[in-house]
Amino acid sequence: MIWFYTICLFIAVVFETTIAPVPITAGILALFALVFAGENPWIFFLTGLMWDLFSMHLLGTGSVLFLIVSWIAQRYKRKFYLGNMLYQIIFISVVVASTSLIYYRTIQPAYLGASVLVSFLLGRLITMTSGSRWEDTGRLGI
Amino acid sequence: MISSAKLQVFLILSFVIIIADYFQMLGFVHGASDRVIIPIKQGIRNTAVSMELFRTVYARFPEISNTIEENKILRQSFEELQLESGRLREENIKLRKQLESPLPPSFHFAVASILAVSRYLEIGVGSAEGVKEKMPVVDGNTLIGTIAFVSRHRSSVMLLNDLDAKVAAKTARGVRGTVGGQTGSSIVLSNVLQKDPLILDDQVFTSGEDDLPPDLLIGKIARVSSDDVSVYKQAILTTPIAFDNLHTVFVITSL
Repeated sequence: MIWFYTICLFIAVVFETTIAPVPITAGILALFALVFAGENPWIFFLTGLMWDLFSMHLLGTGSVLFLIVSWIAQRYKRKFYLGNMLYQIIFISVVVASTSLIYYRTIQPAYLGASVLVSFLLGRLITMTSGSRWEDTGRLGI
Repeated sequence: MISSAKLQVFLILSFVIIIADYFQMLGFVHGASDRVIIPIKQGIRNTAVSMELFRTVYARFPEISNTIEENKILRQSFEELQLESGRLREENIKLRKQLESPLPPSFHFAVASILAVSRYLEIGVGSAEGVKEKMPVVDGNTLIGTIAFVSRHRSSVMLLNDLDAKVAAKTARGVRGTVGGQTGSSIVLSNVLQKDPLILDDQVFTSGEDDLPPDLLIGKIARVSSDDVSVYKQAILTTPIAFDNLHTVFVITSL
């Protein structure tokens, strides 16, 4: 499954940095942060580096951003797992909006909506096809 | 807790990378990555552009199809109009030239478009337009030939370089002779007495001794040939008319 995530992230990075300034990488990473709940931080680190290389940002800034996202997801995992699905949507939206604001200096509702929608639908797809780690509360120790 | 420690390690590593990159110590990483990223981006970009083009074409296919068809029709129409415009412009120039030509105002003309050029010049006016045999055909005040055959709406013009052509002529100095054709499509002024002067570049006109009106320009003398044993001498004439470029001529229908 980890390869599927990696391919998704690679496509997102290439799409975002080549075709349209849609902050879709951040959306998908926010989703993965929810899925992994703080595990596999190297994915966030490497995705950040790849994102920086493709978009010619200062190398490492993307990694910091995405690791912070991962940390927040880990910090509030109980709420995200057990609370309303709205929390997850809000979390993804906030991450996407923040990234858009920081890196693109603008928030375009259409791009924002598209990113959140794609991320959320991908999350649902993962839930349906992979035995749903997202809703695996056993990992939370509860 | 383990993952949190890992997170901290990666965070610290990220900050180290940021500092290193800030001080441009990671140029080799950017250089190496560019070699991979550039072809990927180029490929994706080209594909995206192609897709966009395809999408545009697909979305606007009926419109484009109509536009292409319309463009074809308009282009055809434009070419036809251009031809028509060229023809009318030329006809207009000819008419102006004809009006300004020093021909008597009593002359009446039939404007004729040229249909073909072979041995005879075929024109698009005939007996219906009042054209009769032997009528002179001119361009401006220059004689082209005489009507040889007439049908209802077409006529054949015998050009001056035809072997059967025979027109009474005189030079600007009053030397009289006969203009006709010669083998090799040249126009010849013949039957000129040896004593009469034929000077190069002298203009040659109709003399009016036959049924043709006088003083129509035939051409000018290009070469004179004579020998002492002959009674007559002759001259090769050049005409200012280029038959290949002619589109309209005028038949003098009444004098």
